[in-house]
Amino acid sequence: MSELTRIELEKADGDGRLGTRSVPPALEVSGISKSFKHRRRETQVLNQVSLTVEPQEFVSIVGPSGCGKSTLFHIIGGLTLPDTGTVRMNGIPVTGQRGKISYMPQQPALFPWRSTLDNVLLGGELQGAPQREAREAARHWLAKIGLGGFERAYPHMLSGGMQQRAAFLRAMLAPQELMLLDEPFSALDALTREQMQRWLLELWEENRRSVLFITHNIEEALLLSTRIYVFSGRPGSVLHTVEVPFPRPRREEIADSPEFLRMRRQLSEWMREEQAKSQS
Amino acid sequence: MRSTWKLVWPPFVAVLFFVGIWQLSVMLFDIPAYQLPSPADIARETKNNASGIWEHTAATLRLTLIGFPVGTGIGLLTALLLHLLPWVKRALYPLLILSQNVPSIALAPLLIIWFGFGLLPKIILITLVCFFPVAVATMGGLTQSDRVMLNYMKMAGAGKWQIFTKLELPGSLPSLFSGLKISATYAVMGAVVAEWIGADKGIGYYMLLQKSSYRADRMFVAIAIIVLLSLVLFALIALLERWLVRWKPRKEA
Repeated sequence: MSELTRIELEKADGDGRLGTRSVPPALEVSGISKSFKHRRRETQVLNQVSLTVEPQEFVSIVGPSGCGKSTLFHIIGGLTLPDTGTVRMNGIPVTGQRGKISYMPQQPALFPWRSTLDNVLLGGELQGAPQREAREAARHWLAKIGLGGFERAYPHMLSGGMQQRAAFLRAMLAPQELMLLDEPFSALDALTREQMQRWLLELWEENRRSVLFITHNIEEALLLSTRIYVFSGRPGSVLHTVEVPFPRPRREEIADSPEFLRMRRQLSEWMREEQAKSQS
Repeated sequence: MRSTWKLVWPPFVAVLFFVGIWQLSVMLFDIPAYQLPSPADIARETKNNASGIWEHTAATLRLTLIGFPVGTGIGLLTALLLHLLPWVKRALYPLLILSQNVPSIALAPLLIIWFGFGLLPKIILITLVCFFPVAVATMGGLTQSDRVMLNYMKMAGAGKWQIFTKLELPGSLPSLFSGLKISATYAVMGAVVAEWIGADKGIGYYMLLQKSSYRADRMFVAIAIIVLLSLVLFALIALLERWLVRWKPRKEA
């Protein structure tokens, strides 16, 4: 399965990156299933989920609510053990191991008693990374993402968008290569959300990391990702794998291209079908 | 500064109003001073006896300032230990709650029998009334850390100790301080009760003396001093909280 995906990738990779056959994927999830028991009733949440994130690749998962995306993140993050299947990072099995990924939750979850600067440094601090150079780098980055002058401010003094940017920076400055972003913009208003998408696109293209991104927003997924996994409703499984062909660096304008609109229509249709199925 | 003033003046005016009514009714209805002295009487008495009263106040203050840190310190330690040893917590927490059904103050005579008339039984009494609010509040605060932050910490590979020092401990500070504020008022009361039972100075001792000579005015002096001491200790804790929990957005009152 994973071999197949990688061959597909080589064919579909529009932005001229080298084939990645020699380098193991940053993340390889294979055959993950998970059920939860609650009051003697067993609910299957994930069914044989397999997906791959190549190094420096932006991959999205879209799916109806309740498709087990968060459970999948917990499994990749090592908080929950899967019933079957394995998680590999850079070719090494890491199923159930914590501290291998850098995580950005749905709510910014900045620590209220830490200044913005100390918040973005937390990931490195937890891994015992030396702090002095990290502080310099963090200051530089804060200025770059429009939070210059807010280094010493506490989170409650920042706006929602600023908090999300700080939370993203916290994930980005963490020493782990792979970033998991769990619907990071879902709590923002539409306007801020659009701004944040543009911001993230620019930042990521400049500073490529391996990213697995969960979203409900199809446009967001198309704009940002190299590949999109479309999930079914519960129990979640991969329904479709969509390669997004637009070359990088991408501009927002691609959202007006016929190809983009066609893909958006297709994805919306799939999502609607799934949503309808899970409701009936 | 202006907002502080806004907070302060309504209760200040209320107290002034209350004292005024008190003074007026004592004068109008001609209430004898041994029953209810007027605020003016009390103030005069305080002024005339300032040095003696100050000596007693200093003794009570000293007792409180030893007992309060010891009591709340033990409360805090209990909370931290029980939190870090969940098994012990399961075993002891119900006992801890149960122990509060024993009125601590009723234990005072027993403490005198066991430990004599020195400092120790008094400190133990203050500890008994002080440690519980701090222990329960802190334990509550430690277990109520934010789920999302906890998940973040775990995914980032934080160990148990890191979670404790970087998430649970700072997160429990507001709860700790609400416990400390309750204990601050209890501490002065505990000191006074300890002095009732066995002491040769202090506000509690002073009250016993005045009771036997029916000096209601001096009794009121003592009460005013107790209130004042509690208020000062409470205010100090509140100030410390303001400084330590300065990261919390302040709600408009």
